[in-house]
Amino acid sequence: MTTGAAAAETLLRNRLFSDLDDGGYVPENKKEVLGTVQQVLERTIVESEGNSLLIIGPRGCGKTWVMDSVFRTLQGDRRCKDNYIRVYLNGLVHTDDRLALLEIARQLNIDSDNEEHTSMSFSAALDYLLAALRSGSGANQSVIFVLDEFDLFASHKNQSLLYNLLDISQSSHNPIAVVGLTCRLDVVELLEKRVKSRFSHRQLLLFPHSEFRDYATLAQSLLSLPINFKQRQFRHEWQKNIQKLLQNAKVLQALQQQFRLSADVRSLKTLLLLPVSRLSPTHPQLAPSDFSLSLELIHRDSLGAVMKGLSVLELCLLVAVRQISELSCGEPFNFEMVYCGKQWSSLLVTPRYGNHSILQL
Amino acid sequence: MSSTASMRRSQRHRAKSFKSELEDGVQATYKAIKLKSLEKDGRCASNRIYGEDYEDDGEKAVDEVEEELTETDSASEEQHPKRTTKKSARNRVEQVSDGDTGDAGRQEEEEEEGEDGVGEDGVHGRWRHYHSLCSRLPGRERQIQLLLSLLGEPRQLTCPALYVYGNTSTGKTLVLKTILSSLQVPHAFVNCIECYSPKLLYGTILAHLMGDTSGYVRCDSMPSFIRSLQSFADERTAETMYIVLDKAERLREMNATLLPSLLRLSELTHRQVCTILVSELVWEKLAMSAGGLRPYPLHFPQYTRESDCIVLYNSESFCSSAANENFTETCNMEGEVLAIMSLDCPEGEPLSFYRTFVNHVWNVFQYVCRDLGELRYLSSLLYPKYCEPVESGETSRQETRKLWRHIEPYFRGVMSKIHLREISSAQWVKAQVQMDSGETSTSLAQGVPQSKAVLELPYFSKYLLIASYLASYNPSKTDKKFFSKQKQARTRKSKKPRKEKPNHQLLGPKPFPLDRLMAIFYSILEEAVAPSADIYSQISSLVTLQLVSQLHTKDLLDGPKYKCLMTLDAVRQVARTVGFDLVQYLYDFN
Repeated sequence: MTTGAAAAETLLRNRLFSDLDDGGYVPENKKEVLGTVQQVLERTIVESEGNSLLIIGPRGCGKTWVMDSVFRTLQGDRRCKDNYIRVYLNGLVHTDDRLALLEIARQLNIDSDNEEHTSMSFSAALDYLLAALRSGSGANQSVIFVLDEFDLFASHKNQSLLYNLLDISQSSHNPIAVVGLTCRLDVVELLEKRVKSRFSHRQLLLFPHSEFRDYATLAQSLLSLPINFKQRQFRHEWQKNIQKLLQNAKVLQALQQQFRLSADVRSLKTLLLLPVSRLSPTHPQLAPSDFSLSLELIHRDSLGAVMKGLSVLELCLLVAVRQISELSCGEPFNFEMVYCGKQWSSLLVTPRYGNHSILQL
Repeated sequence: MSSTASMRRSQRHRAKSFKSELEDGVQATYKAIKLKSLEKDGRCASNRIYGEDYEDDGEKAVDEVEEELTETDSASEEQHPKRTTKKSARNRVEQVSDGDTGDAGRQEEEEEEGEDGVGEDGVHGRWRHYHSLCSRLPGRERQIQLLLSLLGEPRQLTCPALYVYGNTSTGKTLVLKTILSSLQVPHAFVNCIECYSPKLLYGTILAHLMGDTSGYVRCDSMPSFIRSLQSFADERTAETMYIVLDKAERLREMNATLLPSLLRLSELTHRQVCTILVSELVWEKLAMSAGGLRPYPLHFPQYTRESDCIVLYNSESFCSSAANENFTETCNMEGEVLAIMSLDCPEGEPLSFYRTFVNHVWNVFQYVCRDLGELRYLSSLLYPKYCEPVESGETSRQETRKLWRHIEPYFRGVMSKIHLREISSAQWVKAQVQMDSGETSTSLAQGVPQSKAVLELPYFSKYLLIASYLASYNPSKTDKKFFSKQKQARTRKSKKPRKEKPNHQLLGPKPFPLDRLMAIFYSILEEAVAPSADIYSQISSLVTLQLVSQLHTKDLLDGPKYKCLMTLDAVRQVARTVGFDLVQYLYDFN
């Protein structure tokens, strides 16, 4: 029994904190996107066709998850399995084209030692890489570029990386596919004209769950233990408990509240984080109170909580600042003005019981 | 024209910068005050007790207990250097934890039992630290519990980012440090004020993780940082790496992509990394620069009065020893705070006696300051005073009322100087000795008297200085009123009722062009002087003396601009030496 809870905790933690294991549940609204992405990439790999597409969706709605699961299915496909190289770039990390080029060279395993690369000038590196990418023909292994935070690549100087990648994807050299992930709807407008004209304008939109039913199903699938879980007895009890939990008014209320605030997958995972973390041999099953506690922790009034910790004098200063900022109607003011102002001194001469009354607040 | 415009611009800029400071909460401004006072008296820093000291003490205590623990197991190599360095502090800590030794002993036994009960796979591992952690960190049981659940076992995946926030000195850093070191997982503790650039940050994190003694590993960019983390994780450890970033609000200023990528480290490295941000601000202040990712928030509330420490009191059986009923009532109130502050009890002093004193300190100062670091500083400063009558034999330790009457004036004196630390504790003690020996020099905690040295300047320089002060603090449109020779207009105008105007003394000095300075200078100087190179060179010497600062204007067509840096009192002194009535010419006083 004890080990059952621990194993369940480890398994569920893996599910919540990484995209590797998703519990096997594919939400309805993502099936279409998944299908399209897979189709496009397969055409690149099997038929050596250059392609580019953009996946646009708000943060935490599963863009990275889509890419991961597509690559998982590609790995399972016999035709595609060893026929492609995946290059992953992130706009947050590779903040200029030089870093991005180095990273591409590293991930493509272009043979030459690292020292030489770092000392190379940008244009030399670009030439080198482009030559490498352009040298092949359709028979070569295809390269799939995944550009996370695509909008940040558009801010690079001259957008030369994007230009070259998209240019190669249009021409019939090496087959490459460029997949951009971004949360900006207007990302195409950020591209220069010459870059834009080389982009295929295939955009896929991802949305968070629009119905609570889907959200609750997702929660259930995230919390369920797989059929091949070792402790049969424990799994049985666990699944029964999950069923019961999702009927529980307290749990449903917590889920609903989180759903209304933001309906994406990440918010759901955040909510489930604490209940799963609290599992232990003495507390082997999830309890409804865990969910409400988690919700309370996530959506606590943090500013109020910090203010409660101030001493009376500090609160007085805060009140004086507030009063002055109202009086000055947006005009700037400084600390000296607060400190020597009437508001501050009037707060200070308040009799002692007055101070106590502030403390009660 | 351009001068007034730029004046307004700089004024707005200054005010804006202050406003942002205000937004960061009142604590920040308090810090500013503290800093200001530190600058004034930077030399004496060594004698002060900072807020961090509390944490250091805690760390020492932690090391101590840990040593006890590891001695039974295999002593880990890392702690040996610490052992020698912290030897001096050990005696004190032992004294401090004296009250808890019985407890600790019991807990150790429990732990061993727990380990046996858990079984060979060690499933229950992290929770066996729980009790010892709670006894070391009074008042933080709930936070420890939450953190332990969230962090999980060393090899389990953890949530990618945590955000720990709370007021100053609520034990955020201490709790994290203690937990991570007792779990013995690879972790890096980095203060973002020390590591002010991304490069330094990467280097220091890597050095901490790898246990590099130099404290810095060269690492230039995010991609190479990620690669080093990956290789470290692959070669050295299968456990989750924790990166704790203290004062995380500073990360906003570094680089737009730094904070979001730090929060995503586990996704970017595909390894087990957990980033823990520690800050005094609420998350909303950082959210704009965090790129939409919201770490799991964890609040550390201020230490309060309601707590289970009351139980601790009764078990100490010191209430019976207290003759004063009144005293027993009051001391039952503040649980957590007292429990922590009485950890400071100096060697050889009875704990209950010290508790009474600490209780007085808390009752008096809690309305002004709830910063435990500051309160601990005050109590360490005032305790020798409190003990004085006992040592001289005037009163016994039981007569709390007499002792209170003795210490009360000292409390009152210190009250207004809280947070300021105008003098170091060594100076304070010296001042007390002087006062006791009958010298009527300084009153309690009054601070060293300001240097009375009068500025010795050439005659014209003095006038230039006064003129620059007037130009800095008077609005330029009022120049006509003060410096034109038609006196009648001025008297008539002053009778008009005035509406509320901002006080220019409070707004700080404003820049002025050279022409205006010279105009005022000739106006206030009685005798006629020809504008010679001599006069102009005196202005530049005032600039080199840093009494006046020259502003760098981007516009080359504009003449140079200046600003007066002197305070009102100093300029008044200078004015007195040449017999000039400064106040009469100041806008704010007329």
